[in-house]
Amino acid sequence: MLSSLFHRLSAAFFLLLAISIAGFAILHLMPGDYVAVLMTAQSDGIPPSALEVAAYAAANGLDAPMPVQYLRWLVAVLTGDLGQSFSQGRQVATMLGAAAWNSATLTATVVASALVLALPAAIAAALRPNSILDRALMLFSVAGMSIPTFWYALLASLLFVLHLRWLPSSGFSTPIHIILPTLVAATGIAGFLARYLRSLLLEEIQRPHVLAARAQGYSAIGVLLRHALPNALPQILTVMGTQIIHVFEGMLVIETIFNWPGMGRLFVSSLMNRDFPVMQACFLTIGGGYVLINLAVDVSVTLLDRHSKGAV
Amino acid sequence: MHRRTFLSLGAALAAITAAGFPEEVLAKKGGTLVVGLQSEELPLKPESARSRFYTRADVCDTLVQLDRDMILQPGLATSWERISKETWRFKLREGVTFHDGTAFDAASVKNALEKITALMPYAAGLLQLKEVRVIDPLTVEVETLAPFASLPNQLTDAVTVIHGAASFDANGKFVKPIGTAAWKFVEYIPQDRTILERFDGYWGETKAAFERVEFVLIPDDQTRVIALETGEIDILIDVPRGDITRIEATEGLQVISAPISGVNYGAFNCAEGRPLSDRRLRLALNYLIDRELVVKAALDGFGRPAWQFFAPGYRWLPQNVTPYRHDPEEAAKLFTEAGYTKVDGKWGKDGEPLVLNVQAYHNGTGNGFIAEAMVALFKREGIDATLNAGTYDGMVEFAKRGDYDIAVQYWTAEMTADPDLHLTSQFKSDAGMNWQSWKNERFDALVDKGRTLDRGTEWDAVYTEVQQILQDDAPIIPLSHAIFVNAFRSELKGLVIHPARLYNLKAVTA
Repeated sequence: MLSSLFHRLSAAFFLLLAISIAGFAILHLMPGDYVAVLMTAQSDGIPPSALEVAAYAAANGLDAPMPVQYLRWLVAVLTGDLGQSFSQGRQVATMLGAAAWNSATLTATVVASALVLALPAAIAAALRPNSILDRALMLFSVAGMSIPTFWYALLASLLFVLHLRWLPSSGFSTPIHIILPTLVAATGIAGFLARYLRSLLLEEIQRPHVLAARAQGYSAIGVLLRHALPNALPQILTVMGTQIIHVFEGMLVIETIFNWPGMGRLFVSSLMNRDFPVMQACFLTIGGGYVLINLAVDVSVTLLDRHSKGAV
Repeated sequence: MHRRTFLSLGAALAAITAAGFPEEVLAKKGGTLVVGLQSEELPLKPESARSRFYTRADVCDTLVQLDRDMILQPGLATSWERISKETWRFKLREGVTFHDGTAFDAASVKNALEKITALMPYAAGLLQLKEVRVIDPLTVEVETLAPFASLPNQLTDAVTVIHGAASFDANGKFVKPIGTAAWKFVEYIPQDRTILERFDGYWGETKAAFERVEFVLIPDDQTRVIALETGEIDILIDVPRGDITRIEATEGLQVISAPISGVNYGAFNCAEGRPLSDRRLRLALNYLIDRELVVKAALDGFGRPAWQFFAPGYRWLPQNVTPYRHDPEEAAKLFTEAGYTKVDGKWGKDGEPLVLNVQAYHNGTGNGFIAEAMVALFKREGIDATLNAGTYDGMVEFAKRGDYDIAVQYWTAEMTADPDLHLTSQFKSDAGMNWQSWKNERFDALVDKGRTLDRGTEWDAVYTEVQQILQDDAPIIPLSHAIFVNAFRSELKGLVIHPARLYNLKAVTA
């Protein structure tokens, strides 16, 4: 298992390297001369002269060939220097740290709330397949998957903020501010999660040891919780991993709508401001996040399920 | 039993939500004015996007100020005179103190102007400083590299605010804004808000009624409007066009709108070999497009039809210029003169239909929509046109390659109430933003002359002719002069819109 872990880790390393090269290339292939765009952004839209561009490029090492610039950047990153934000002048690492922490907080509450919503619903549905509850769950889950996040977020905002006046519209200064974005993101995935859990549990219920337990007179729910659920755990973890990634994609929209200062906001605003060092760091962090989550899921599945042969 | 657990859990949740969250979290604290903005102000970074925040939010003062008619008014300087071609002398205001308690004097002016021009190429280009001399504690002389008549106008630009000495560290790096104006900078919370506090030592006559101001970032348009409706913010800067009529109809909310200094226009590619190298065609397009329709279709009427580059009605610029007008017959005449004929309802030349390549970008002023409206009107009038609306940088890329016929863009044309900055950066043949390949020697010579002249009859004559050349030789098609729209809670009084978008929150009372 250790050697396969090593393989996965080295694959992850090369994947990250590829992401960073692709990210670097994309930034330089975007419309507009890299240096001119940068300087224009710094002078409120007044483009610099060719002479100024050349001087700035020389002073900041931006006149070197792209591979050289990339290597310089890579060396700096590997020594822990992500550079300075062009638009804000702050250290990219500081900005990234705060944003990643905020996103992680939100993602954690979203995933936890989604589980809290999905688990009881899935158990109830699995106990009575094809009941009204089961069908309602199906409807809820299809709706959750089909409604675009930005629209759903707006509806939730109209209801909870404007009409009921229970929640603040945006920001992050108090714990209450996390409720609305969490609600929107969590209900979006809870339906899917519940349906998936339900089918897993139904499968488990049919297994001989579960049936045997039932035959011995244990209650349906007791058996479900004690025998079926633990067996389904590895698969639940796998699907949670993909859902975390799904949540993260939703963050681009949700963080902007609710002004939650996480990775999604940072990424979008750095794109808008042509803040290349921040964008590049975002590519790397988001890419790294994906790789790490997948790796973590695989590792934990292996640890939990002795029978699984080689998820890692 | 388990069902009962579910039920009680549900009941508990319902109880929490029904009770609502503590009122004080949602309600604002007394004495604080909360302003919602779409993009973040960066009070700690003057050199990026040359933050106009300092003057907009009344944290710092400039030496010279502009009133709402864009006429120069005393700021930190009470009077100024030109003592030689290159030198201006400024008398400074007495009894002014910075937010940190230090006194404002001639040395602070010298320090601030020198630091800021060293820090920002934009500021250096704007002021053309050679030397700032302290004559006595309340007199400074500013010498420019070349004769520069519009220096007092340039000194109204937000980058030229006078920061206190402690605004810079020992290496000349900007640390934080320490100004002399009505509000004192307190804190900047990245991605969230900027907090200001009333400065009781402010020199001006208008004393702020509120104790604090918070500028809150709410990037999403809908969320920002909702925040106004719930009272989380008191003032909404730059209302999304689609929400204006609805907010106007909402009880307890008010909308205020007024023209500001900005123009959306299409720059023609006048390069040899392009169809618009023909002046008659450029004029024809200017007569063809009904700007009233453009403004109605693209901006819901929240723009003023533009028939010339500088908006009319400001006293600072000579007004006797012939504006364009909507005149399809004149346009048809010009097309025919240029050798074009209309076949099957389409204008063309030598059997080839005329196809215009229009480049634009989307921004908060509705620039992309304005370009769409223009293209739709072209098509209605029998001119084929393609539109590519992406980012500003994308447009610049096409424009620099010369791969376009019309580039639709937005420009703040009267920011300093002086035409020089705009003419030299947009239209002179060596201008950085002259992608039009437009060259007019008479125009270049007049612009060079104009910047050395004092205001008077000669200045008037020069800038009348300069504007008329723009009309007659038509390097651009002006489309819309911007209107700025803010909304606020009705209990507030004293809100105005300044052409330079100064918020003037010190005059706001509850």
